[in-house]
Amino acid sequence: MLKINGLTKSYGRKKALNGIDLEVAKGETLVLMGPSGCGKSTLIRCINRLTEPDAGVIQFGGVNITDLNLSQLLQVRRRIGFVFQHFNLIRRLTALNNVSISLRYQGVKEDEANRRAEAALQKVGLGHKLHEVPTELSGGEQQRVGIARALALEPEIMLWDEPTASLDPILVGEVIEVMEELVKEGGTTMVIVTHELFFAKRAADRIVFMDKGLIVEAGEPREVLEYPTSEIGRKYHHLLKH
Amino acid sequence: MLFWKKDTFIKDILVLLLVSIIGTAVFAAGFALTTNEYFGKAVSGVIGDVGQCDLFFQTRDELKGAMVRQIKQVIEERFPGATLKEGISIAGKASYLLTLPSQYKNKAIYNSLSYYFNNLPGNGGYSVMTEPRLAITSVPGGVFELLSKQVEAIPGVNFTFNDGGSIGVILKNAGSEESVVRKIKELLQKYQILEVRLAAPASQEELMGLSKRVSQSLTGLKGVDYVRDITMSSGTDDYQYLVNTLYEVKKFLLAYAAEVKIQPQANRKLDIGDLLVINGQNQADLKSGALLEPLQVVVKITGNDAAGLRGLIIQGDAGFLRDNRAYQLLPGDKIGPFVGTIEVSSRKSQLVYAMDQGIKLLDKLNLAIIDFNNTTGGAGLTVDSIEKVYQRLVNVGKNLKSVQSNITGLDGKMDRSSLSKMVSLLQSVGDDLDYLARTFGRVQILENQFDQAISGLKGAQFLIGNALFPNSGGISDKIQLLDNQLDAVESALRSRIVKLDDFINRFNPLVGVLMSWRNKARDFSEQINSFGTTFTPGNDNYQNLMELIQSTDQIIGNITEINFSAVKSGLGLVSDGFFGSDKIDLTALIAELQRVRDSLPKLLDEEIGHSVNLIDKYAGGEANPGESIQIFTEAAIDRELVDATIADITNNSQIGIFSLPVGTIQSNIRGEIYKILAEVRSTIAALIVFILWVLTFILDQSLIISMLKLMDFSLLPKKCGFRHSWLERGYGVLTKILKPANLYAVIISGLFLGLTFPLAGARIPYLSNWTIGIIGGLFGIIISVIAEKINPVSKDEVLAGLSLGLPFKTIMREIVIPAGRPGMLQLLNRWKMIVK
Ligand SMILES: Nc1ncnc2c1ncn2[C@@H]1O[C@H](COP(=O)(O)OP(=O)(O)O)[C@@H](O)[C@H]1O
Ligand SMILES: [Mg+2]
Repeated sequence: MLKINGLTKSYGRKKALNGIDLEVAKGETLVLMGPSGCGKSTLIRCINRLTEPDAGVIQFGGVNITDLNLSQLLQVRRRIGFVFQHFNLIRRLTALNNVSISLRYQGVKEDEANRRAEAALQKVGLGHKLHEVPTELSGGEQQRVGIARALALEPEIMLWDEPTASLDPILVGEVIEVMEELVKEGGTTMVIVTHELFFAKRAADRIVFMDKGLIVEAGEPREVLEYPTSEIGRKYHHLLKH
Repeated sequence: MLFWKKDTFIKDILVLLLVSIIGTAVFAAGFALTTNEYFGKAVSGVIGDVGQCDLFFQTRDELKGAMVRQIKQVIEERFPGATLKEGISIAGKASYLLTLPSQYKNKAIYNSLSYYFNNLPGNGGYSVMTEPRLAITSVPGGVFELLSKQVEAIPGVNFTFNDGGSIGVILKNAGSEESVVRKIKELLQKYQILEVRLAAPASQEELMGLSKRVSQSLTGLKGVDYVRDITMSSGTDDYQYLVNTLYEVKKFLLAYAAEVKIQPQANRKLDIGDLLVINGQNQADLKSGALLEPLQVVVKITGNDAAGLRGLIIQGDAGFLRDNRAYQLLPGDKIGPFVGTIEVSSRKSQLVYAMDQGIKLLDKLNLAIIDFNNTTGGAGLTVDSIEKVYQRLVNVGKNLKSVQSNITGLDGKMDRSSLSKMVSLLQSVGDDLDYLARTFGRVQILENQFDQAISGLKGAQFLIGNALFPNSGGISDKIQLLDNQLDAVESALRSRIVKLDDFINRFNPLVGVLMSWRNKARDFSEQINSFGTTFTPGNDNYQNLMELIQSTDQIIGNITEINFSAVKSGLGLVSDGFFGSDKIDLTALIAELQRVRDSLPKLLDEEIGHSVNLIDKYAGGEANPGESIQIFTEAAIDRELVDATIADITNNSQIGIFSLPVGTIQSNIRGEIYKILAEVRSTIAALIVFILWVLTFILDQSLIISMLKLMDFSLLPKKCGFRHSWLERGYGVLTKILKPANLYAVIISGLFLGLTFPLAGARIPYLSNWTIGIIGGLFGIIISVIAEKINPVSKDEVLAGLSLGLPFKTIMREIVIPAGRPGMLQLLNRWKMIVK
């Protein structure tokens, strides 16, 4: 479904990605882990070209994303859901409109768009807060709106960039719950960047450890968490045991 | 076309640009126009509408009542029909507008306005506002008239007048203003003022002299047709005029004063300023050591040059002098040593003497003519008496002939009665001849009289006309007239003398012959009376008779030759009391001479001396010494030649010679004001444009620029692969500068200002629209640098939009613009926004 080869990205002299090769199967839930600054965000942003890669190939559904022109790219982006660490809601819009706006611009009629948006919001447990604006919602609710927004497009793949990292520990649970629900539901390929070890252990089909712009270890959760081979893996193993 | 059908954000930007440019231009122009209208109204309030006001008066508010009364009085007396309207009051000053009916709009009245409206209350003044009007300022007084006349001759000029030292030019209509201004400029360019700057300051008097010498020497130089000395009239300063006049008075007085020449003793040295005493009407002679007395004459030495020492009488009069011995006057009015002799030539007394002589001579002449006419009944009588004598002689001749024939016919004896008849006939002819002789004598006297008169008049005339009064108006004009009249009298007298000479020459021999005949006839008649009447051929009687007959025939023959009418008309002229081609009445001429003589100032030399001293003190001491003289001449002259000539005259190579314009033309005052107003308007428009420019950039454009910066589009490839690191770095800098955001900011800002300025009619002095556009571009760079600070864009929201596959235009319309500052962009965006 997604196949990345030799992906590199530098910010000036700083190399963020140093040649990434990664394959994600359809319906797979992949968790990306690694220390801060190792290039996780850069990697998943390159997938929908929120960040332009320097070199490499990203095959998605049979096309090389890096070769697309602008309008083709827009089409592809609609097939890729993206959940941000900081929710990135549009502040002036209600929860419903935040979700429906992408539908409306895809040519969906207003009513239909609203209906589908409402359904998405209900799915994340926010059917009762359709008309609140982001500032009236808690962090967890805001992130759930963000998830609904990504879901509404019915994406083939969903990319999560530390969806719980900026949440109060009390609020993390409700978001994890929604995520586990979605994973359980299946059908959608997931690439999740997170530090939630227990979630990863429970939900991931595969865990990939990254360090300094490179993939250092990958494997089934039990395997890489119980018997890590990389230094990063060992750190997570250690974390998990204590 | 395709472009407009396509929905792109570029179109949004273009619409925004168009709307804001047009909106800004319209608003700025409208605002400026409104302000201008307001100012225009205010100006009209102050100076009236076009052509409405001729005179503008202003005074302090509290005095306006008095001023209005005074103006109204003048209107009533001098300008019936004129209207006075109150203008607006500014800063405690009331103003009034006077409108004159057209019949008062002429040179004479405009030149005398200052006379009518002088002394308005509270130093209130007036200014001429009649339109269309021009003014030529800084015209030197000396050429004011000349220029005024030439300006007046320009087509389109109604008249010129003296507008407080400037030449006010009233035009016939506003349309001709441009051409008149051009013509005046041409005229002004035809002339120049040469200012000669001296190396050192000189007194006004010296300057006047120098200036005169310079202008005289320039006159007639090759290529120099017109020269006028305007040193003393170059300023419009009243004070300068006063000084000028004083010098004229001084010149007049000096021409009139007694001039004393001093011949000092060999061992004496006298200097300018020394005082001398000469005995006046005192009986006693002067003595060294005595005190000065009132009747003594005091001379002050005023000059010392090649001709010797000269002085002025400052006490007494030339007429008082009794001798020529001069003593020095020491401080304390003590008479000092004898220092020399003086020689006085008083032109005043010479003139009075000449006038007196002239009057005396003319009187005598007049009397002679009157006497001649009275005693002779005019010259006609003289000729008549000759004719009468002639008739009688013819009779005598006849009688004598008959006597002779009787003698031959008879025995030599005469008839007694016819003889006595002949004797009485002879006697009466004799009386007539006596009378004739007396008259003839008078004619000779008259000729003599005329002769004397001529030589006398010549002397008087020489003194009178001897340029005593150079330029002093009144009296010199009269003397000039007298001089002309005396000329006429003199030439008339000459022609009369010619006639008299002619008469005397014709009759002189005849009179001699007649007188000898008369003697012969008297002898003959006596002889007949006493010695009987026998005329025997050959005897004495007979012999005498024969002689008498002979000379009678001869006389008759002579007289017949005379053309009596010609002689008569000639003498008629002689006895005429009117002279000259313009028939001067001699009596009237004498009366006039007398009047002039009486009107000669009855000044004593001391009074003249004092006056001259006073003038010197005032004008020499108080007047600022000047350092330059001004000569008015044509512009197209050979400067090299002129400069050389002036340097020659002034004897100085350190002088500077500058060419100055003869005047400056000031265009229509209202036009000027409106020009200023237009400038104000365009400046206001510029200000508004700037304000709106700042607004659109803060509210709208900065958001777009922020967004462009956020997107970090690049026009150039990120890397170019230069080998040298500094080239690489330079390329990096270039990519940073050539960012779309920067370019957009520069282009839009430059375009905005560059277009709105001309559209709004905005102008900033000295800046062209191109310059404004460039300045706008430079401002754009600044805006680009600070755009995010003015109008930040949420990167998170944009990223969300991108992640949802929203196109740029949608991100702008739905996310960025609604979150930005409320402005034109947001307003226009409301139509494009889908999710509200
Ligand atoms: N926009 C950027 N400009 C410059 N450096 C960046 C930028 N984004 C990320 N980096 C750098 O790239 C590296 C990888 O960053 P990132 O992918 O955000 O790491 P992670 O998400 O794993 O914490 C880090 O060192 C980070 O500092
Ligand atoms: Mg990250």
